[in-house]
Amino acid sequence: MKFSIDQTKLDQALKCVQFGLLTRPSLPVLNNVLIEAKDDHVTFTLTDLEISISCKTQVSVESEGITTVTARKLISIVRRLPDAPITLSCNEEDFVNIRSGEINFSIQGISSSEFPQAFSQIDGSKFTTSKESFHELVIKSSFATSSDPSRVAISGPLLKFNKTELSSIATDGKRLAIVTDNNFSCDHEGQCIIPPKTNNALLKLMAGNGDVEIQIDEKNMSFEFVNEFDQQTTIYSQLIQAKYPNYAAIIPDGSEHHASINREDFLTALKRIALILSESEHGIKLSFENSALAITAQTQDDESKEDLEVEFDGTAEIAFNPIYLIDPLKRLSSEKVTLNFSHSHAAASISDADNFLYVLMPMRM
Amino acid sequence: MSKIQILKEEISNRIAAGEVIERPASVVKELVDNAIDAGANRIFINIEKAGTRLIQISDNGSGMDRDDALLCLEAHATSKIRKVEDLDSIATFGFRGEAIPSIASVSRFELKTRQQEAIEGTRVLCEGGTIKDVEATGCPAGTTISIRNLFYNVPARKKFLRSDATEEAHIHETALLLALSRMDIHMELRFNGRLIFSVPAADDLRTRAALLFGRDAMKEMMPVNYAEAGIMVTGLISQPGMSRNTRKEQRVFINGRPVAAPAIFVGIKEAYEGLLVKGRHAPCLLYYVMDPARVDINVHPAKREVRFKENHLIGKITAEAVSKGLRGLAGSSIDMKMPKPAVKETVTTVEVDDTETSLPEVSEEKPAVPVSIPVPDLSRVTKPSFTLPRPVAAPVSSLVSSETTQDEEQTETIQEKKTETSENTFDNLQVIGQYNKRYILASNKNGIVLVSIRAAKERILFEKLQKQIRDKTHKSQFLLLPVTLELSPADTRLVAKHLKVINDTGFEIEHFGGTTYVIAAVPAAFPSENITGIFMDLIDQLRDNPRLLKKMSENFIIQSLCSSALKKAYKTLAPEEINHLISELGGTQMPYSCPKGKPVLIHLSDNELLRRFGKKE
Repeated sequence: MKFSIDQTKLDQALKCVQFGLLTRPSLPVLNNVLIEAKDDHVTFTLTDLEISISCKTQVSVESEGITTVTARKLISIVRRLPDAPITLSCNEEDFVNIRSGEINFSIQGISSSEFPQAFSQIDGSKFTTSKESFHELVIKSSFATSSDPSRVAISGPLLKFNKTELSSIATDGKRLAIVTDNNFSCDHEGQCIIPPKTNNALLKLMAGNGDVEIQIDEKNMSFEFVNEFDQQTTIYSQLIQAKYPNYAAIIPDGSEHHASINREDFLTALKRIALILSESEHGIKLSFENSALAITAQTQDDESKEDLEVEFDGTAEIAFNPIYLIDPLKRLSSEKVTLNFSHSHAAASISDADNFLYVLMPMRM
Repeated sequence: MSKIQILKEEISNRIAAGEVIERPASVVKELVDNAIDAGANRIFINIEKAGTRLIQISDNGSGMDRDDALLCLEAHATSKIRKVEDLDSIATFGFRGEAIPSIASVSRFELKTRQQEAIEGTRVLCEGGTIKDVEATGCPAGTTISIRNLFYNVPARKKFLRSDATEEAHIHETALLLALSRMDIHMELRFNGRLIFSVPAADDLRTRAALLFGRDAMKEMMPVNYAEAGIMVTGLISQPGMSRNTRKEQRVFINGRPVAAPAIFVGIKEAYEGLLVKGRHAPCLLYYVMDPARVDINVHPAKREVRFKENHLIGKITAEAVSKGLRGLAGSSIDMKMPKPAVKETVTTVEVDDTETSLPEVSEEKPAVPVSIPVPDLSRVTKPSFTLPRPVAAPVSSLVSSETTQDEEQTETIQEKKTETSENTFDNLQVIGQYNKRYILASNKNGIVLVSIRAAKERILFEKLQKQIRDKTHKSQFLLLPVTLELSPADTRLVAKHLKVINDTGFEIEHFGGTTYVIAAVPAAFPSENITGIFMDLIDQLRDNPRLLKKMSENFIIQSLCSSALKKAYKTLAPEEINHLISELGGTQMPYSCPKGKPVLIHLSDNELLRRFGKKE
């Protein structure tokens, strides 16, 4: 195998696939990136058996071939090479040579025959959507996923689709975020839970314009798209095999009070008021009186209060953990949000004009 | 012939022996108990071949005349109980009159005894429970009992004896406990003629306790001195750093009798909560003095286990006594005097103080039951030389003085004195420098001190958060997706019983039918990971001690906050920062250990340094 590639191009491709790298894999070959030169392109693949990311880039191939080499070493070497063409070659014994001008590295690789073929072709539902809207879907929901390793089912977002809607749902047991894309069409309907690692890769790699083709079967899913550096990228991922909780049951179907609040103002006020709270003291109080909202916080020693103008009728009081309000507000882009609530034992919700719904439980002060 | 018959005496004795005399160590215990009851102040124990060849106990007690010597071999012959009512106020060690006939029935038994004033003594020889020979003999005043060939006629029991080394260890342990129970008795133990220990009559607890815990460990022990509701607790407890993984090192004596009492262990655990790593136990040596009517020692023939009328109160008092002892941390050179056992002279009145106790049963107790039990002389407990500063003085809440019942005023003055004299060692701690970014090196009057910066910071932060969190009504965060718990039937009953206590901590638990419970809300700052696991830990705590549930739930919160706050603890500190850290540490309740029970500081005394460099003190 022998081919030449620009340092930038190689660096970009490796950065893209490194999301598939495990910290300490038990199988040595999983430390390695698979490099395959064929026709006029080279494909780089990394996998941890749960997720596999490949990146295909166009180069001039001198001789075809396939091998694997330690990913961490290759990535750090390439990062420190000058911005000039790099020649990568390997012999029969998988001894990989990296040459850039006067710089020369030789690294022992592992035969590609040991590299696991973790995923086969997916045969199931298939749809295409724009990368941008999918990215937004993921960003606006996945912050609400649970980090508790004992609750696997809610550790990643639930992706749900039917003929006209694609939604992403996330919860950690204390709050729930639902984002829906109505500009969507598909022949089937279905759902799957995306593992947190895949979700992180998507957050990073989905930037830019273009479309993404998503395929889902019972156990796996795949994403095919062109990344921001014009490289054909494929992500294969296992799905979380668990029963997602029945989230529809916890969406309140009608609240007593509705307040329409300017999102930006609400967010900055909350951040300010919460400044006096420590890790052990949570809780801010929202007191509505007609068109006035007083946000207050109180600790043993300190107090803070801010008044906001809102659209509201009557009087009401409710308490929340401010983090659970700030988290969604800072990820939204709409001008106004609506806060719907009843009393301290009933679920409250935040919605905006862009098909975002967020359910949270109040605090008992 | 009728089917039911009264057992022959030898048989019933042998059955009793099965209960009381398990192994040579039990013989030692029974006979030393008798010697103590006989008023001896010198007891020699001589063991050969781990007690299977010979167990010989000689005392200088009152001795017996010929009639008594014979009578003591009869079942239920005792000099200690006359009427049924006496059972309620047993202050002597033996009382059933079972021991001697039982032992005699399973061995070759020789008794030599002479009363002080008698000219000649009596020698009784007995084999397998039958008296073989009675004769007048010359012997020293007191009683000497020699047990030869123990279990010679009970092969089954003999077969179950362990190796000589094990049996010797049991005898050693028994003798130690007996030696610790009575400071005023000169006691000697010999194995095959070799002297194991000999402790002269002295009321210094530390000397005797050193036999048990070792001299080095002794230096780390702190005194306990507490009285409440007519129960007095004295003794020694260990600093949190020297925990063990079993409870074996927790010795408890009630009215001078070594006992096992679960209520007391629970109290000790409560006091060490948050100071010890889970599953570790702190060595303690605790002496309780109370009205014998409040404790039932007649539960087990070996009298090892006792029951209390007010189990809860005993646990509470223990917890209070030990935590006061821990907070009043005292150093190495304390000269601790022990309760003087009241044999004849020191007759003390302990009065039940109704106002002190929260339990209704106690207030029904008749006050002022005069009993003759040992009470320590508080005036002789000297001031510790190595004291940590106490922001809040923690004086003994009620003191029982050695002469009479004390009144309120007297207590007040004692408290004031204590506050004044408590010395602030952190004040005269001279910082030498910082080592390896992790430790502060400092010196004080009697040595050098190494402080772990991380542990110190953890302790300071822990107590700050504790102040913020503790004993407030907790804010609850309701869960959108309630967590379902499937409990075992036993846990279900436990949770149902303590539902209110649980919900007070900020949890909201609802019964969902059957053995299913639902967690609807958690305390606001509760760690969000592994709610079920932590909750199950809390349920385990309920089983042990429901009083601690809230404290424990708070500790979970505090610890998770602490560990996230202290991720980067190491850096070079400016002298001002070091001094501030030291003074903050000095202001904590428990500067000796981090919240997880690891030590904060290591103290190397001048004496220890001298010793390590091979010089004399």
